[in-house]
Amino acid sequence: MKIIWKIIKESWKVLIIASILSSIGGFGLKTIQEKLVIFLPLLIALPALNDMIGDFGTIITAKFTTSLFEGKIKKPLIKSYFVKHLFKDIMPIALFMAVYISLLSVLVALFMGFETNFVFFLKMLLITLVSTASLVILIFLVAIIGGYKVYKNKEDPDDILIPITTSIADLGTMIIFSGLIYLLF
Amino acid sequence: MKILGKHKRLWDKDFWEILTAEFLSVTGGIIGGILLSVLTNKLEMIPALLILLPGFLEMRGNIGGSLAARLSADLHLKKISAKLKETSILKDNVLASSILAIFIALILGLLAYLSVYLIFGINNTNIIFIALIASVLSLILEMPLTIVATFWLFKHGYDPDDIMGPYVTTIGDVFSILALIITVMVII
Repeated sequence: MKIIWKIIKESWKVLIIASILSSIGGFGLKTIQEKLVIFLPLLIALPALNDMIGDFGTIITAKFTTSLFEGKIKKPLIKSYFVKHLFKDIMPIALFMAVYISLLSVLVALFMGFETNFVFFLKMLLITLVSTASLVILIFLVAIIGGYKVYKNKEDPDDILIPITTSIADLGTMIIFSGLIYLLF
Repeated sequence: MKILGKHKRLWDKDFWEILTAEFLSVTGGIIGGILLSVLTNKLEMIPALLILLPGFLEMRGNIGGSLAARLSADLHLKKISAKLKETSILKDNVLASSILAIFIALILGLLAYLSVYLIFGINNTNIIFIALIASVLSLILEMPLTIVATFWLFKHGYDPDDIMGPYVTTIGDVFSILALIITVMVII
């Protein structure tokens, strides 16, 4: 029973805040709802992009937390071998997957009868690449610096930093995504 | 040879595990997007649905992701055995995740209801029941898959930390949108 209450106590506040932040993102989506419905590839790409950036929050936090518990992390954090190595793994994957999301969502939309052209694809690529690169860097910093502080406070970074990084990913994706759609379309 | 050695170090086991998991996750996310285009037809019938949706998906991914990460850390630290059996740690984790999922769904449903009531003057309590029922439905679908996958991956030499994040958010998105569609169809 002790574990249950420890998990609930550590998680409930941050989960509510994270979920509310994402719901605020829902208002952002509502403002571009018409464009999302008209430009089908954007609607198809949104959950995948959102997921992917959130996934990196979970991966970075989970791997960093396990390494902290195993005593592998030494200060200064950003210069430590583990952190540099993790960044070298994550960033190329993130950019590659951003290209894949653009390509796949345009292809699926074409298959569903959406008419498109090369300029549309380039704009779409720009939106996914800018959103991905900026948010992955932000999430990386938050997960590493925040994770270390949470660990020092004798709490489990998995319970606190995963909701925080994924909500940054969610809200950030919706803000950048909505902003770029508003500017480019 | 030095360059090859450097590349070998750069693209290690973690790199390929994360890349494969992301590849599958993003493909699953696209399926989520296609399902979402089905759900947009229901958005006009239940105006709070678009406000509920991102928070609901976020909550499901967070709870599943944290559960998998905690189990993974316990497996790495040998607090639990790699053989999946009913232990108090596992039961406590499942119970805590279930309580959190239902409680947060209730809060999200209430918030979606209140925001639509206060901003648009629409009094429709259905959104609270939709959030609760969809949360229970997706719990039943997702929780066993999350636990079995974490243990299976660890047992077969993979690092669940690399794979479970993308896996959980993908099955979370697909099952949560499906649960929402089913619940909306039943309630309307």
